[in-house]
Amino acid sequence: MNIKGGRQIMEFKFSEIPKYLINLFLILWIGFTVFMFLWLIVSSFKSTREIYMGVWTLPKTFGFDNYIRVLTDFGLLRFMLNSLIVVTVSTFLVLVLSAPIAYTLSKLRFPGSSYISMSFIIGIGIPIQTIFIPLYIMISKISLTDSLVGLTILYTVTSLPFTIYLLMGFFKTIPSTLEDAARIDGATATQSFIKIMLPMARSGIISAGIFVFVMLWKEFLLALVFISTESYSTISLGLYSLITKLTYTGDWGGLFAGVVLVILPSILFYGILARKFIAGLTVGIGKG
Amino acid sequence: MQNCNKGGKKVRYDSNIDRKRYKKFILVSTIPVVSFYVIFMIYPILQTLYYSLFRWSGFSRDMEYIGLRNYNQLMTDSMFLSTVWNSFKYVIFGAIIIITITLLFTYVISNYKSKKLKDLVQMILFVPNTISPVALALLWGFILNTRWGLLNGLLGRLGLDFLQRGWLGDQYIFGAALSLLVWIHVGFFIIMYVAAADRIPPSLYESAQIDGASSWKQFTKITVPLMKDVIETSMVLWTIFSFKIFGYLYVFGAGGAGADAPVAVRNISVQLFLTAFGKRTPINRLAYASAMAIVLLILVAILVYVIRKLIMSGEAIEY
Repeated sequence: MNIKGGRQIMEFKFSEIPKYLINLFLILWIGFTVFMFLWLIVSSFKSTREIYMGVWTLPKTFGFDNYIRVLTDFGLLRFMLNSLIVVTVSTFLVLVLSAPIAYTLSKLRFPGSSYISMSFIIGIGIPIQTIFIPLYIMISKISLTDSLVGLTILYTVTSLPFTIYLLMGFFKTIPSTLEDAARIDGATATQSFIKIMLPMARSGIISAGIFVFVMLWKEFLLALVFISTESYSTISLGLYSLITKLTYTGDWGGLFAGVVLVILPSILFYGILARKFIAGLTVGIGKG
Repeated sequence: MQNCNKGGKKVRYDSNIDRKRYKKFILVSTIPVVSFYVIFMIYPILQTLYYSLFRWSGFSRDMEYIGLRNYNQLMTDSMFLSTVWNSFKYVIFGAIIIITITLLFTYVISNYKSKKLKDLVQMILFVPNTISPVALALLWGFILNTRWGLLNGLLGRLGLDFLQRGWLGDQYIFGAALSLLVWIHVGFFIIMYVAAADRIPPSLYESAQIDGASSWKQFTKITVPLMKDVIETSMVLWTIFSFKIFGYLYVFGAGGAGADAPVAVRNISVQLFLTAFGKRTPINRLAYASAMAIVLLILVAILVYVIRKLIMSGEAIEY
């Protein structure tokens, strides 16, 4: 089949018509996705008048007026900082809490450990909506609603099940031979975890970290429920309030600039590390 | 989950000395996390169940036990029932469309010879999953805006004016919202599917290739049947996702100016949020919303169970 090499690809075959059609569909799909983001970036430089005059035209000048306006007047800079703090701290906490237990559950099995693993897998499926009412009561009793600390706790806890599941997948792929050798030499679990497992699982932990960061950066529901003061808004929530404000004034130029600012960190972060990110998601496939 | 441990080697700790040496680590790594998990995620489910049996607006001591009356009221709440119906529509139509498109894309992508191209295509398809739902919903609303949206604009330029529609009107808005969800989730599931297709050993295709079977035939006759378990997993995941979906729908329909999402696009999650915390609700009805949450949880559990039973009635695939 591959003897003819490159020429095989160019040859037209009737039996391969489905492939050509689906490829065309895929190209259109990807073209649409890429175009959308390019269009968004271009539009974010247009004045609102220019947008109303035509959504398909290029802006006359590429000025940063829209960006400066939403960052300062509408406080987007503040929202981004809030998100950066909450998401970074949460991601760190999630990893610190998840890595040891994922190691324990995947390598040092003990009576009942499979039930605990199972309960985390079920936990991935728990919709936040089924727990946010008691959580709201609980968090307001300790006066942590409308606070970045409260949100950090919630983000950390709700990210645990999936992160533990991801990391368990990684630890399972690491062969136990080195660890066994260390055990025979009399190493404690803490020693073999820190000296052997952590370095070997580094790429897995980084992937999980990126995943948690990106997912929390775009989180909206918990922020909407638990934050009501603008000065504690996260980026998604801030963008939402921006929408309600700017659609009154019809300031689409400002809105698009806001959207670009919200999605740019996600895309950059994801773009740099996408391969690890995808590897992280697929490691568990085929393992049940 | 039976084959959960196949991937990694299990280390057995038969000797008691080992157990003792590892005990401290096991306890320290497990107990804090499990207790956080129980306090913040498991116990609240029970609390939600408890609240749902009361008449209670939240934040007052005034709680009256009313048994299942909240649930009875839900059964006659036409607004709630239409959001239940919508949730089912999202699950069913979404599953059919998303799984079909994802399979078609898997077919072409898994046939790409170049690993780089394969990765790049998947990366681009996945991008919407990394972006704030608020941003995507706003963008989608702008594309479909009747007066100056991109879609109607494009149709006008192509001379297809007769296809222009008020996409955000009552008649089309559900489809508009569904199309947003499809665009996002195809990019999510494609990564699972391509990974699964790539894992099938090439030797299984040899005889088909000798027979000169087309690549489409090889895909439908060999690849898809072997991907059965991944397809099942994706259906379970989609069921959970689509019932949970909130941000996309909440923002998409809201159309700015603080108006609530139109009933046509609301699923249970949106209705539940609006009942519990919505700005327009005169009093918070936390107990009634708790009953909705329990219904949501039960529906998801039943659907997941049914999917697993119906589709995976066959034996596990080994290759």
